[in-house]
Amino acid sequence: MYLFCHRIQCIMKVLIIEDETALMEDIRNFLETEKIMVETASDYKEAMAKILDYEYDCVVVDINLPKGSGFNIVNELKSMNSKSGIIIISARDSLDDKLSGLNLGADDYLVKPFHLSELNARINSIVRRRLFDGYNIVTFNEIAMDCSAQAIKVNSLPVMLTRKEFDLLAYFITNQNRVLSQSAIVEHLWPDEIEFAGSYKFLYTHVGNLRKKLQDAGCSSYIKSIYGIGYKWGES
Amino acid sequence: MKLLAITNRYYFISITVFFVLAGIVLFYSIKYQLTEELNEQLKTEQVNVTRIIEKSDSLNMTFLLNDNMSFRQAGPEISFKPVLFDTLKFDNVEKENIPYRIIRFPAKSRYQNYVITIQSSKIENEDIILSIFLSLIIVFALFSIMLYLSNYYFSKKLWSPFLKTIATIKSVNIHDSEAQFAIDKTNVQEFYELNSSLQQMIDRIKRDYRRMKDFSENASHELQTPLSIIRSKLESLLQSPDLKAREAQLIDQALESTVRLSRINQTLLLLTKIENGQFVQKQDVSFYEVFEKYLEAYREMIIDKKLKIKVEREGDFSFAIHPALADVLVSNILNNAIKHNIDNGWLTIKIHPEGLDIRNSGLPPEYPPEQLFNRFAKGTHSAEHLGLGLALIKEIAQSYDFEVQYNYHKNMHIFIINAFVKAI
Repeated sequence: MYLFCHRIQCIMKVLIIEDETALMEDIRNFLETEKIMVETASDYKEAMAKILDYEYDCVVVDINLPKGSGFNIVNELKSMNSKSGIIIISARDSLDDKLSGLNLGADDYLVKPFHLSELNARINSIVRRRLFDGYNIVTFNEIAMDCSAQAIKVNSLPVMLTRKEFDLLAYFITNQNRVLSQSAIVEHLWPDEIEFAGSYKFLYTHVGNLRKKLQDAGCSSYIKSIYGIGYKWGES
Repeated sequence: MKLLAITNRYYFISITVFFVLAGIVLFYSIKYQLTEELNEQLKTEQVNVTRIIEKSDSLNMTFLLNDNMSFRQAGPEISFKPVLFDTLKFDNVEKENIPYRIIRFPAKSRYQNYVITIQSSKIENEDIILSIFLSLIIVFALFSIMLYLSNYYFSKKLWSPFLKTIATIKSVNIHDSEAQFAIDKTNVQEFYELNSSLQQMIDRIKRDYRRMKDFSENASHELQTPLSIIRSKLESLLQSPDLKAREAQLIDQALESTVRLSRINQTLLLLTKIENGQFVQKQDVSFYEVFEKYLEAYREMIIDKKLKIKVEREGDFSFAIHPALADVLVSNILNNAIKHNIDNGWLTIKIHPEGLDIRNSGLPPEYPPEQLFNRFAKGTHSAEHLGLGLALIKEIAQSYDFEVQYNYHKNMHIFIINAFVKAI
């Protein structure tokens, strides 16, 4: 079982605009599943042609592109009244760039280098928010997550989770069947300023709590520990 | 000390020396002249008296006697050269000693030899010398005053371009790439040279600063792209299904290093930006709220270490600061207090209007406190962290004139931030 949208089971179309082909290929391979279709563009012209041609659910755009700026693509999307979610990816970790990107109408700004699982989580969250606003339910077997109300049900019975536990669960389900390193999980759950590189002992407790709550609610065990590396969510 | 005061002082010393020397020279030369004058008078007198005595037929010379002349008879063999000398005589009327110049010489009449003494009072001479000195002192005083005043006015006028230059330099902010700093042109050769070299220097500094800024930003950004490729490759590799546990761990460790590398890179960039004063924007930030935010963010770490947290609020510490820097400051303080804490330890945060006082349990630091603020200073307790946290705190504190103190006392780390220096 994979991501469910409401009513129909839909395929998400995502456009990746990135001139570093090495990075682009990894993003494509990571994202591409039965539920996500990935298109790519490696320069400004190609990107423009593609956004005029098709309305993507989400456009991931690098700011520094050959023959043009990613900001212009964001502008173009906005002037077309596109419903696409927009994520800017940039090597520039500058507040000004971040603000101008978001002011132009981008939904998110991700600084390089990022974890692929992080990009995946953000794409999913934006698409959910934009397309299924107000009815934002993600299900995985017996688990149903209401992303707008931040509540979950297991076998139709509510389970109380803390915010971080909820986020962790959402992250797991979005990145199901993928190995998630501890650093990727920590970077996703805690703000940037928190520097805990290397000492992730607390994460073990945190994941343990979530695992226990789910098990107590009668949920199957989906969290698989990968010793020394991290975790993987999936049916065993 | 002001330049004006220094020149005045030197002027004063030199004219004092000049007047003292001039006084001494004047004193001796006048004194010499006056004595010579007296000697001449007395010698003329001697010639007259000698002539009168030689020509006189009278036996008795008493007609010669007056207040200033006396004689005594001498034997026939008397013969000596006239002598001139000074002496003091008591005056019964004035009741004081009065200096006299005296000439004593032998004279011969037809019948008798005499030793004649003629005296002349020097009191007038002394009066003259005194009055000359008085006028000298008056001239000295007037001269000093005039010199002081003219020095004051001329210096002000002369140095005004210099003061203007200083004011311009003070206003120079090299972080502001837009502003131009044109230093006034002036006709004074020296100031002209000073100003033009300053202008060149400012332009050069600004150019270098911009280059350095561009370089560090570019270097860091250019690093991020290959880093992100390495990371995505490793992450993709980690997903391959037939990976052995050992291989997976190697990949994960490499992945972990890229995370650290990019963090170091970002933190150094942040440090550079703070150093360069690029966080100009300011708004009032309530540190209580920032602490609340980050205590929540660190909740899992706190629970994991079973720390007892106490927040004492004696009013809020509110300060005009760039909000991102307030975040960095607080998260790094908490980070240190939690990371270097022991299991089942405690952490007390006191917030008061003048600053922050953070105390926590922990192992003794391995470096002397003053070295802890240096970049990449870290102990072996936890080898993983970057060693830039305290350097960041110090840098932020410096740019806002906070006072930061760190102390270790009996298993207690004390970290104090004081902003009262600025508040007053």
